[in-house]
Amino acid sequence: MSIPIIIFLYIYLLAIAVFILGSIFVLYHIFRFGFSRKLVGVSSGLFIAVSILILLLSAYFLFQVDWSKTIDFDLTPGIF
Amino acid sequence: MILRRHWFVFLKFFVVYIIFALVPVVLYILKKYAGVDFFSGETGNALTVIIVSSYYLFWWLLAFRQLVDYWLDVWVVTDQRVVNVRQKGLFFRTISELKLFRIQDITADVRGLLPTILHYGNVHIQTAASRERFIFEQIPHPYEVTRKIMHLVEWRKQHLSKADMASMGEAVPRKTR
Repeated sequence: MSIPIIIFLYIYLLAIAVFILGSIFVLYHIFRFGFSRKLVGVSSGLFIAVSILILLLSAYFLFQVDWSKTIDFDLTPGIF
Repeated sequence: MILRRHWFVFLKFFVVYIIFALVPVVLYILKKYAGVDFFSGETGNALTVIIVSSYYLFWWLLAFRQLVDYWLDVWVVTDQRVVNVRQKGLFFRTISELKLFRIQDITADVRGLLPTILHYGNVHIQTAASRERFIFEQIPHPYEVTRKIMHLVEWRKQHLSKADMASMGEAVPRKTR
């Protein structure tokens, strides 16, 4: 049995989508209810900048991967 | 006067998050120097990047959410009222307001070694109602805050408007000729 490793990429993209959704909720809250505009801007900017940095670093390594490969599993039990 | 929890309260969460941030680093050191072999080869490297990237993305999101939760808990004291704003998670926010002249009792307490050294504690505000109305939790310099609020309460009671006196059930003094 073999599993194409691109499935893990799809799972990762799904995780990124969940992360973006969570980020939108958090940023909405701090923009709507935050008191100091300057601090809200700085903290939100820092959050977005670090998030983009993590994503760019990950993309740099993941672009070098050959996604056509598969992982092979041997499910047949060994003959004793 | 805008009050938030003492910075040390957030520092405790910060230290925990730093420890969690070091988990992938420790695992990397184990893999490289202790001879523990997992996720090797090109496929293993790809899986490692995916797992570590996802881990740090969600770690960062949770750390920022914790900061927002700390930042959006605030108590505001004006010359007319006390406002209590509590953010409990992302979709649970309560805002309560209490007029100064209704305050009857204010108590400050500082419990523990670190709160005593760092001067932070709780302030309890009580009205005539049987249930305690507000608690300022883990705020800096609670005794000074208590004194300031008491001064404001006394000042406010001396300058009550007619509407406020009527709401207290007291007779509004009539003008005499």
